[in-house]
Amino acid sequence: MILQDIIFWILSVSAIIAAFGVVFLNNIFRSALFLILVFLSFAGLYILLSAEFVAIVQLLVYVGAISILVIFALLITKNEKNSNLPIRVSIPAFFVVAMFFVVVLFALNSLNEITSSSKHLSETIASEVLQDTSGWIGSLLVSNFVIPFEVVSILLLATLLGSLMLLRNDPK
Amino acid sequence: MNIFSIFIVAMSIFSIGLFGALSRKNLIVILMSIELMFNAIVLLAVGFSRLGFSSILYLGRNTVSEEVLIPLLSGQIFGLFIITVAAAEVALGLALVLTLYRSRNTANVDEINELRN
Repeated sequence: MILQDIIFWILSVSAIIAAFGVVFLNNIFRSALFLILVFLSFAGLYILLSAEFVAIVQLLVYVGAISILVIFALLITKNEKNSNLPIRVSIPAFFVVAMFFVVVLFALNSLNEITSSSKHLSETIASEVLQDTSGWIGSLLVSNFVIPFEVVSILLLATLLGSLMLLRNDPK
Repeated sequence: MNIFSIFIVAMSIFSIGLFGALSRKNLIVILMSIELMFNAIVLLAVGFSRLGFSSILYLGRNTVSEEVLIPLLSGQIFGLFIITVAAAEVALGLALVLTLYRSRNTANVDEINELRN
Protein backbone atom coordinates (compact mmCIF):
# COMPACT_ATOMS: atom_id res chain seq x y z
CA MET A 1 0.00 0.00 0.00
CA ILE A 2 2.70 2.46 0.99
CA LEU A 3 4.70 1.58 -2.14
CA GLN A 4 1.60 2.29 -4.24
CA ASP A 5 1.27 5.70 -2.58
CA ILE A 6 4.91 6.59 -3.29
CA ILE A 7 4.60 5.54 -6.94
CA PHE A 8 1.35 7.47 -7.27
CA TRP A 9 2.90 10.67 -5.89
CA ILE A 10 5.99 10.39 -8.10
CA LEU A 11 3.87 9.82 -11.22
CA SER A 12 1.32 12.54 -10.54
CA VAL A 13 3.88 15.19 -9.57
CA SER A 14 5.95 14.45 -12.66
CA ALA A 15 2.79 14.60 -14.81
CA ILE A 16 1.75 17.98 -13.41
CA ILE A 17 5.24 19.50 -13.65
CA ALA A 18 5.62 18.22 -17.22
CA ALA A 19 2.17 19.62 -18.12
CA PHE A 20 3.31 23.03 -16.83
CA GLY A 21 6.39 22.59 -19.00
CA VAL A 22 4.24 21.88 -22.06
CA VAL A 23 2.16 25.00 -21.53
CA PHE A 24 4.70 27.54 -20.30
CA LEU A 25 7.98 26.77 -22.07
CA ASN A 26 8.85 29.06 -24.95
CA ASN A 27 10.87 26.48 -26.85
CA ILE A 28 8.23 24.41 -28.63
CA PHE A 29 10.44 21.37 -29.19
CA ARG A 30 11.04 21.16 -25.43
CA SER A 31 7.32 21.31 -24.78
CA ALA A 32 6.87 18.38 -27.16
CA LEU A 33 9.45 16.42 -25.14
CA PHE A 34 7.60 17.29 -21.91
CA LEU A 35 4.40 16.10 -23.57
CA ILE A 36 6.01 12.65 -23.96
CA LEU A 37 6.82 12.72 -20.22
CA VAL A 38 3.15 13.48 -19.45
CA PHE A 39 2.06 10.52 -21.60
CA LEU A 40 4.53 8.18 -19.88
CA SER A 41 3.39 9.23 -16.40
CA PHE A 42 -0.22 8.70 -17.42
CA ALA A 43 0.60 5.20 -18.63
CA GLY A 44 2.06 4.51 -15.19
CA LEU A 45 -1.08 5.84 -13.53
CA TYR A 46 -3.23 3.52 -15.65
CA ILE A 47 -1.16 0.54 -14.53
CA LEU A 48 -1.62 1.73 -10.94
CA LEU A 49 -5.39 1.78 -11.50
CA SER A 50 -5.13 -1.85 -12.76
CA ALA A 51 -6.03 -0.88 -16.33
CA GLU A 52 -3.17 -2.60 -18.14
CA PHE A 53 -4.79 -2.64 -21.55
CA VAL A 54 -5.40 1.11 -21.52
CA ALA A 55 -1.80 1.63 -20.42
CA ILE A 56 -0.45 -0.43 -23.33
CA VAL A 57 -2.70 1.38 -25.80
CA GLN A 58 -1.52 4.68 -24.31
CA LEU A 59 2.11 3.67 -24.86
CA LEU A 60 1.46 2.52 -28.43
CA VAL A 61 -0.80 5.34 -29.60
CA TYR A 62 0.37 8.38 -27.66
CA VAL A 63 4.05 7.78 -26.93
CA GLY A 64 4.66 5.85 -30.12
CA ALA A 65 2.55 7.62 -32.71
CA ILE A 66 1.15 10.98 -31.66
CA SER A 67 4.39 12.38 -30.19
CA ILE A 68 6.29 11.43 -33.34
CA LEU A 69 3.58 13.07 -35.46
CA VAL A 70 3.72 16.27 -33.39
CA ILE A 71 7.51 16.39 -33.56
CA PHE A 72 7.44 15.91 -37.35
CA ALA A 73 4.95 18.77 -37.67
CA LEU A 74 7.19 20.94 -35.48
CA LEU A 75 10.19 20.21 -37.65
CA ILE A 76 8.30 21.04 -40.85
CA THR A 77 6.91 24.40 -39.72
CA LYS A 78 9.10 27.26 -38.59
CA ASN A 79 8.60 28.46 -35.05
CA GLU A 80 9.26 31.78 -33.41
CA LYS A 81 10.71 31.92 -29.94
CA ASN A 82 7.97 33.83 -28.15
CA SER A 83 4.66 32.16 -28.84
CA ASN A 84 2.44 33.48 -26.06
CA LEU A 85 -0.59 35.57 -26.85
CA PRO A 86 -0.51 39.11 -25.39
CA ILE A 87 -1.21 39.55 -21.70
CA ARG A 88 -4.67 40.98 -22.30
CA VAL A 89 -5.69 37.54 -23.59
CA SER A 90 -3.90 35.34 -21.09
CA ILE A 91 -5.13 37.02 -17.88
CA PRO A 92 -8.85 36.46 -18.66
CA ALA A 93 -7.90 32.95 -19.75
CA PHE A 94 -6.27 32.38 -16.37
CA PHE A 95 -9.40 33.55 -14.54
CA VAL A 96 -11.65 31.32 -16.65
CA VAL A 97 -9.45 28.31 -15.93
CA ALA A 98 -9.25 29.09 -12.21
CA MET A 99 -13.03 29.37 -11.95
CA PHE A 100 -13.46 26.12 -13.86
CA PHE A 101 -11.01 24.33 -11.56
CA VAL A 102 -12.73 25.56 -8.38
CA VAL A 103 -16.18 24.50 -9.65
CA VAL A 104 -14.88 21.05 -10.61
CA LEU A 105 -13.24 20.66 -7.19
CA PHE A 106 -16.58 21.33 -5.49
CA ALA A 107 -18.30 18.78 -7.75
CA LEU A 108 -15.63 16.16 -7.04
CA ASN A 109 -15.86 16.86 -3.32
CA SER A 110 -19.55 15.94 -3.28
CA LEU A 111 -18.67 12.80 -5.26
CA ASN A 112 -16.10 11.94 -2.61
CA GLU A 113 -18.75 12.13 0.12
CA ILE A 114 -21.05 9.81 -1.83
CA THR A 115 -18.47 7.15 -2.58
CA SER A 116 -16.85 7.03 0.83
CA SER A 117 -20.12 5.77 2.31
CA SER A 118 -20.66 2.85 -0.07
CA LYS A 119 -19.73 -0.73 0.60
CA HIS A 120 -17.26 -2.90 -1.28
CA LEU A 121 -17.81 -5.40 -4.04
CA SER A 122 -17.44 -8.99 -2.98
CA GLU A 123 -13.78 -9.90 -3.11
CA THR A 124 -14.03 -12.97 -5.31
CA ILE A 125 -15.69 -11.20 -8.24
CA ALA A 126 -13.34 -8.22 -8.02
CA SER A 127 -10.22 -10.39 -8.05
CA GLU A 128 -11.62 -12.57 -10.82
CA VAL A 129 -12.22 -9.55 -13.05
CA LEU A 130 -8.93 -7.89 -12.08
CA GLN A 131 -6.91 -10.97 -13.00
CA ASP A 132 -7.85 -10.75 -16.67
CA THR A 133 -8.98 -7.20 -17.43
CA SER A 134 -7.80 -7.29 -21.03
CA GLY A 135 -9.68 -10.50 -21.76
CA TRP A 136 -12.93 -9.17 -20.35
CA ILE A 137 -12.47 -5.89 -22.26
CA GLY A 138 -12.00 -7.88 -25.45
CA SER A 139 -15.15 -9.90 -24.91
CA LEU A 140 -17.14 -6.74 -24.12
CA LEU A 141 -15.80 -5.01 -27.24
CA VAL A 142 -17.18 -7.71 -29.52
CA SER A 143 -20.47 -8.20 -27.68
CA ASN A 144 -21.98 -5.15 -26.01
CA PHE A 145 -19.84 -2.42 -27.53
CA VAL A 146 -19.67 -3.82 -31.06
CA ILE A 147 -21.49 -0.92 -32.72
CA PRO A 148 -19.18 1.84 -31.37
CA PHE A 149 -16.26 -0.45 -32.24
CA GLU A 150 -17.35 -0.58 -35.89
CA VAL A 151 -18.17 3.15 -35.99
CA VAL A 152 -14.65 3.91 -34.76
CA SER A 153 -13.21 1.92 -37.66
CA ILE A 154 -15.24 4.04 -40.10
CA LEU A 155 -13.99 7.17 -38.30
CA LEU A 156 -10.38 6.04 -38.71
CA LEU A 157 -10.92 5.37 -42.42
CA ALA A 158 -12.48 8.81 -42.85
CA THR A 159 -9.55 10.41 -41.03
CA LEU A 160 -7.07 8.60 -43.24
CA LEU A 161 -8.83 9.73 -46.41
CA GLY A 162 -9.31 13.27 -45.08
CA SER A 163 -5.70 13.86 -44.16
CA LEU A 164 -4.54 12.35 -47.46
CA MET A 165 -6.89 14.68 -49.34
CA LEU A 166 -5.71 17.71 -47.36
CA LEU A 167 -2.03 17.06 -47.86
CA ARG A 168 -1.83 15.80 -51.43
CA ASN A 169 0.35 17.85 -53.72
CA ASP A 170 -1.78 19.05 -56.63
CA PRO A 171 -4.15 21.83 -55.62
CA LYS A 172 -7.01 20.86 -57.92
CA MET B 1 -3.91 6.12 -2.80
CA ASN B 2 -7.41 7.51 -2.62
CA ILE B 3 -9.32 7.48 -5.90
CA PHE B 4 -10.24 11.10 -5.18
CA SER B 5 -6.60 12.20 -5.60
CA ILE B 6 -6.59 10.62 -9.08
CA PHE B 7 -9.53 12.86 -9.96
CA ILE B 8 -7.72 15.93 -8.61
CA VAL B 9 -4.64 15.10 -10.71
CA ALA B 10 -6.83 14.60 -13.80
CA MET B 11 -8.65 17.89 -13.35
CA SER B 12 -5.40 19.78 -12.69
CA ILE B 13 -3.97 18.46 -15.96
CA PHE B 14 -7.24 19.36 -17.71
CA SER B 15 -7.07 22.92 -16.35
CA ILE B 16 -3.42 23.32 -17.37
CA GLY B 17 -4.30 22.09 -20.85
CA LEU B 18 -7.27 24.46 -21.04
CA PHE B 19 -5.05 27.39 -20.09
CA GLY B 20 -2.52 26.38 -22.74
CA ALA B 21 -5.21 26.08 -25.41
CA LEU B 22 -6.49 29.54 -24.52
CA SER B 23 -3.24 31.43 -24.12
CA ARG B 24 -0.69 30.08 -26.62
CA LYS B 25 -0.17 31.41 -30.11
CA ASN B 26 1.28 28.48 -32.00
CA LEU B 27 -1.31 26.09 -33.43
CA ILE B 28 0.79 22.99 -32.72
CA VAL B 29 1.12 23.94 -29.05
CA ILE B 30 -2.65 24.41 -28.95
CA LEU B 31 -3.04 20.89 -30.35
CA MET B 32 -0.63 19.61 -27.69
CA SER B 33 -2.72 21.28 -24.97
CA ILE B 34 -5.85 19.65 -26.38
CA GLU B 35 -4.03 16.32 -26.17
CA LEU B 36 -3.37 17.05 -22.48
CA MET B 37 -7.10 17.61 -21.96
CA PHE B 38 -7.97 14.36 -23.76
CA ASN B 39 -5.51 12.48 -21.57
CA ALA B 40 -7.00 13.97 -18.42
CA ILE B 41 -10.46 12.82 -19.48
CA VAL B 42 -9.20 9.30 -20.19
CA LEU B 43 -7.64 9.22 -16.73
CA LEU B 44 -10.97 10.35 -15.27
CA ALA B 45 -12.84 7.57 -17.13
CA VAL B 46 -10.38 4.91 -15.96
CA GLY B 47 -10.65 6.25 -12.40
CA PHE B 48 -14.43 5.98 -12.53
CA SER B 49 -14.08 2.41 -13.75
CA ARG B 50 -11.89 1.75 -10.73
CA LEU B 51 -14.59 3.36 -8.59
CA GLY B 52 -17.01 0.73 -9.87
CA PHE B 53 -15.12 -1.90 -7.88
CA SER B 54 -16.45 -0.33 -4.68
CA SER B 55 -20.04 -0.15 -5.85
CA ILE B 56 -22.80 -1.20 -3.48
CA LEU B 57 -25.03 -2.66 -6.20
CA TYR B 58 -23.26 -5.96 -6.78
CA LEU B 59 -22.83 -7.26 -3.27
CA GLY B 60 -25.04 -10.30 -3.74
CA ARG B 61 -23.56 -11.60 -6.97
CA ASN B 62 -21.11 -14.47 -7.02
CA THR B 63 -20.34 -15.08 -10.68
CA VAL B 64 -18.86 -12.79 -13.30
CA SER B 65 -21.66 -11.89 -15.67
CA GLU B 66 -22.56 -9.12 -18.04
CA GLU B 67 -24.31 -7.01 -15.44
CA VAL B 68 -21.18 -7.03 -13.29
CA LEU B 69 -18.74 -6.50 -16.14
CA ILE B 70 -20.40 -3.51 -17.78
CA PRO B 71 -20.27 -1.19 -14.74
CA LEU B 72 -16.77 -2.38 -13.90
CA LEU B 73 -15.13 -2.08 -17.30
CA SER B 74 -17.14 0.40 -19.38
CA GLY B 75 -14.98 3.25 -18.04
CA GLN B 76 -11.88 1.62 -19.50
CA ILE B 77 -13.68 0.93 -22.78
CA PHE B 78 -14.78 4.57 -22.97
CA GLY B 79 -11.15 5.50 -22.37
CA LEU B 80 -10.05 3.34 -25.29
CA PHE B 81 -12.62 4.98 -27.58
CA ILE B 82 -11.52 8.45 -26.44
CA ILE B 83 -7.89 7.53 -27.21
CA THR B 84 -8.90 6.43 -30.73
CA VAL B 85 -10.90 9.59 -31.40
CA ALA B 86 -8.04 11.72 -30.04
CA ALA B 87 -5.57 10.01 -32.36
CA ALA B 88 -7.85 10.70 -35.34
CA GLU B 89 -8.29 14.28 -34.16
CA VAL B 90 -4.59 14.99 -33.86
CA ALA B 91 -3.86 13.46 -37.28
CA LEU B 92 -6.49 15.62 -38.95
CA GLY B 93 -5.49 18.68 -36.90
CA LEU B 94 -1.85 18.41 -37.89
CA ALA B 95 -2.88 17.94 -41.53
CA LEU B 96 -4.93 21.14 -41.28
CA VAL B 97 -2.03 23.01 -39.63
CA LEU B 98 0.35 21.90 -42.40
CA THR B 99 -2.14 22.92 -45.10
CA LEU B 100 -2.53 26.31 -43.44
CA TYR B 101 1.24 26.63 -43.15
CA ARG B 102 1.61 25.88 -46.86
CA SER B 103 -0.84 28.59 -47.92
CA ARG B 104 -0.21 31.29 -45.26
CA ASN B 105 3.39 30.45 -44.28
CA THR B 106 2.57 30.82 -40.59
CA ALA B 107 1.30 28.62 -37.77
CA ASN B 108 0.25 31.41 -35.42
CA VAL B 109 -3.39 31.94 -34.59
CA ASP B 110 -3.17 35.72 -34.40
CA GLU B 111 -1.92 36.06 -37.97
CA ILE B 112 -4.84 34.14 -39.44
CA ASN B 113 -7.41 36.93 -39.53
CA GLU B 114 -8.66 37.08 -43.10
CA LEU B 115 -12.27 36.82 -41.97
CA ARG B 116 -12.01 39.63 -39.45
CA ASN B 117 -12.55 42.60 -41.76
